[in-house]
Amino acid sequence: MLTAAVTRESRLRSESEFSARLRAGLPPLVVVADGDVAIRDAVTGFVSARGYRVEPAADAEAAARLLLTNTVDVLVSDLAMRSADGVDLLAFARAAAPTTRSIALAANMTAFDRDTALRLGAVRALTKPLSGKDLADAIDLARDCGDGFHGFLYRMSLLDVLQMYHLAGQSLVLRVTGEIEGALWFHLGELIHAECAGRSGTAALATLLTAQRGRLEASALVPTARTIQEPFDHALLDGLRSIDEERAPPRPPGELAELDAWLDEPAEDDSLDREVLGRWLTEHAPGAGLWRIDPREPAIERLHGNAADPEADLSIGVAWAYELAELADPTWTRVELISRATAIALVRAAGVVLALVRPVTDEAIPRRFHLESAQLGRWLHDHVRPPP
Amino acid sequence: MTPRDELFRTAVVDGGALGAVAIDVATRSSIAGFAHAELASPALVELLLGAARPSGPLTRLCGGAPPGAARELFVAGADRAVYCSVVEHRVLIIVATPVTMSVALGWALVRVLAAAEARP
Repeated sequence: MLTAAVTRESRLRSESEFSARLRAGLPPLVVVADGDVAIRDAVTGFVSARGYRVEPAADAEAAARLLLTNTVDVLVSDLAMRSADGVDLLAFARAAAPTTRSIALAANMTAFDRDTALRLGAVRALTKPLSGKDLADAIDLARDCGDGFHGFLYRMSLLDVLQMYHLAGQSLVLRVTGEIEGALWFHLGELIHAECAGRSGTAALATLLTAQRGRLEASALVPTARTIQEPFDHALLDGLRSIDEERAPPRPPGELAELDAWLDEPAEDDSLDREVLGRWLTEHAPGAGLWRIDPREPAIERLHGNAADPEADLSIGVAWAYELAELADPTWTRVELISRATAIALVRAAGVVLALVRPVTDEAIPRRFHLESAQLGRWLHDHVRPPP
Repeated sequence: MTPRDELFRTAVVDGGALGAVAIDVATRSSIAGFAHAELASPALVELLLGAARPSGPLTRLCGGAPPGAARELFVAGADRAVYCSVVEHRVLIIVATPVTMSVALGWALVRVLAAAEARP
């Protein structure tokens, strides 16, 4: 087995070698392993013309020797070679040269071959005949993967991934496939361009953000015209807002009839009302507090949530928001006040004033809070009728 | 009209807003703006920046400590919506839009102006 030749030293090549050589101006080294001399020569010529150092290998053993005696950046390997096949070579490369990134080639690549190659660490699995663009993209991606991790992640939302690449300051293209297809361009962590369904810019971003499932694939950044000018956070928030505004959540008839009744005719004993409101909070704004304001009494009452927070501090915030709203526009129907400590939304319809309150514990709170506030406002507007 | 005013004029005219202004937090003076007469009362600005303590009946009921400065305020009224954003504790941006305008677009306008006022 090829893996028998692995030495302890070869396992310990550091990830920083690749970066160090790039800084030193040495072109990355690519090993092209393919038993078909015509394809090997063609790929070698193509890669060499793109400025890489290239070492051709006629079989897996020759490629393995190169991996052990050189610091190879990218291995391009046919999966079907004489003596040892390409799958063994990929496994060997992963064990013996962990900093080497692999690209698998096959004439008749099955789904099993592709899955095997990717599980063995290949960054791409390409089917012959090769297109120059696919090969160039794959090598660029392999170079990009020279530092950091690459592989499979599951159960990640698109929002999670976008924020991850933003925080990491990455430059790349993220392609989305599945129920909604499109692509997002990152430059130094900022979203600069998006395409989806014939749209571009923030409109495309908003469409992509509606995707609930699918597949994500990152590749090297390619030049593009900038269509998103806003900072990442703002672009993302605006995208979420526009989704929220376009997508008024349909509610089954009578779902919250108890709350409707309570808001129309406040009862003296509000134990049931608190239960209904609690369900609303759990469904739409978990972790937030809900307050009711009666400016005529005056009265300000915490109905639900935020039990762990100092009640007085939040109530003064609610009162502050109410006064600001009255000063800004006495006809107000919805208010959002974000301070360093709290996020407070007031909504008013048919004489009922509710306040949604969250302590601001991190920067993500205000972003999500805008959506929660809009939902509460829409719900109140839709469900509360003016008194006869 | 200064280049700063020109930016505000463009944002208002092209963005379909009613008016916009940047107020120096230290001096409370307008440093740039377009169509900003009566955009926000001095009382609102003082209360928003935490310089004046809220004193209405609800606040008396609570009896709490005075608030700090706000970072963002959005008020949707019958005819217009008002957006306020404090940039780096230095500049208060206020934008008024028709209430029919998308909230996302309203905040986008604020952010364009805020980005111009932010330190390089």
